[in-house]
Amino acid sequence: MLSEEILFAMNDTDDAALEAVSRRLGYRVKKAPARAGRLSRRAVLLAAVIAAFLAFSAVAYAANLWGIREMFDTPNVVLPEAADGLITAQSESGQGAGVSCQVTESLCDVSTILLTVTVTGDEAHILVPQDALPEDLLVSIGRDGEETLEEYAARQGKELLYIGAGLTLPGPDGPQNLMGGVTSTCVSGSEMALLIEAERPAGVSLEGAVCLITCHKGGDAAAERLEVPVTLTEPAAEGEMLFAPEDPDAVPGIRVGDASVTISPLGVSASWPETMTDEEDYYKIMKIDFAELTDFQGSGSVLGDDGIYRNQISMGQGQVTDTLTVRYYDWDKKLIGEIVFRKK
Amino acid sequence: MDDKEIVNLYWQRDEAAIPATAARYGSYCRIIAFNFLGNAEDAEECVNDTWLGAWNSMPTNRPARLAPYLAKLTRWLSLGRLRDSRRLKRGGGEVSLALEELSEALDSGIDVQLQVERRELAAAIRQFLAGLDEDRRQVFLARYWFMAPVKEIARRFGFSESKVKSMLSRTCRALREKLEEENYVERRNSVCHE
Repeated sequence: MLSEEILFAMNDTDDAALEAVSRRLGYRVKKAPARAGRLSRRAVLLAAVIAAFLAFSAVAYAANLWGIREMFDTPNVVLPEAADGLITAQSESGQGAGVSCQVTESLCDVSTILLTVTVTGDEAHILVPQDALPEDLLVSIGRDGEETLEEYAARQGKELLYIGAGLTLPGPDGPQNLMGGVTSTCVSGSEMALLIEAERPAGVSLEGAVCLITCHKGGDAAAERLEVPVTLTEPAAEGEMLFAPEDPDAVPGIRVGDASVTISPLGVSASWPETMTDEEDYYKIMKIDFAELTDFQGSGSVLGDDGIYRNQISMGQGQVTDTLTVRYYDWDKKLIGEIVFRKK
Repeated sequence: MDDKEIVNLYWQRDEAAIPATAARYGSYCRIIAFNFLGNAEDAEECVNDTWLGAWNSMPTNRPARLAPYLAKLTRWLSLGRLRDSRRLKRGGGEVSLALEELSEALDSGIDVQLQVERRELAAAIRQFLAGLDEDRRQVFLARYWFMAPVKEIARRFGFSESKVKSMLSRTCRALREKLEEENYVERRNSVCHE
């Protein structure tokens, strides 16, 4: 049938035409915050539950509940109770043209930094997340109605103001943006709460941290940057422990090195190098988990400048004493092999 | 993380490419798959297949823009699923409706025989679409590429539903005329094809 052939043949349509149509249909592609590496599994989970937070927004605002625990916890992922002791109230604030921000809470772990910020705009603007599009529907910011954001703002005689956030720490070549994700919640048209979740590079001091808020009116307008220095507190954590692999070649395709393990109230953090020994076998590896941990964040190897992959996890929930057992799985979720690390 | 960084992860065979792609394009691809399959579970499976397809195709591909690349993968896999389960014409989300519309304009009343390979047909369709005005092209693609419901297209484009249907019908007929004129299809008998 020609009609069926047409459907299949149309697949190879011009990219620009497809992008134009998907924009007009409001099929949104998320704009990830500026970052230097991978997204954590948390970031994916957080994105998936934003809607739940939006529904909760009116009640939470009345009780002023936009703290770290309130923004972090989801039905599936909950901040460990022990982490409450790490949450520090913040009072730093910043002021820009028509916008002000207030850092409310922070939590620092050996490998994770969480920060909540409230951004308030003036009467001329409606604050929306930086990954919003003008043609998105109002429900995307937790409001009822069939209007798009653009239509809603126009009807009120206001402009959309896109708000983003990030965290920087001093690096050898200047401030470095930390990898991570941002969850934002529109508390009201002129107020937005943001949770910044950043991966803390190993061994980097917390001194000189700056919370960066970007405000963009869309189009070609330049974004305004509010830079708010924040004082972050070093966590009380056990010192770094080294674990050596019993058999560095136990998993086909890789050779692992010693693992660095740190335990804090937020959970277990671990990282270890992986060198590719067989390309074909290496590509068969899809995921890992741990015999000792029921949950953890941020799986996946990242290729370093030295050509060696480094696997890093954080917020591992469970007990690690003398061994850490990493299980490697293929794309069919079948166990390929496991590496047993023993404490040195 | 922008498209280039994500594509680089695929080329480095870094499995972090998958969650990065899912975070940025998950909802986008899910909508497309759902439009075709009409079932959230099937759509989710199809989107997972899309990530696997991306993993298997990069390398060797290095797409400059990931959105259309992934959208095409999702659409192709969705269509393949429907074809394999023989659901193309009976209840594959919007597909069966869209196919009915296309069939009315392209197949009814005549028996047409495709005279060219699909690749050539694809080129002819691209050329045809390039010659349409912006609104007609976008409405046609919204319906038959993205499988968006007519009601949704009408609301998004600010047209009445009847106008959208009329635009689609006219565009389909124009497409058939072009294909016949240029001998991509051969008109056979006045026999109604299935």
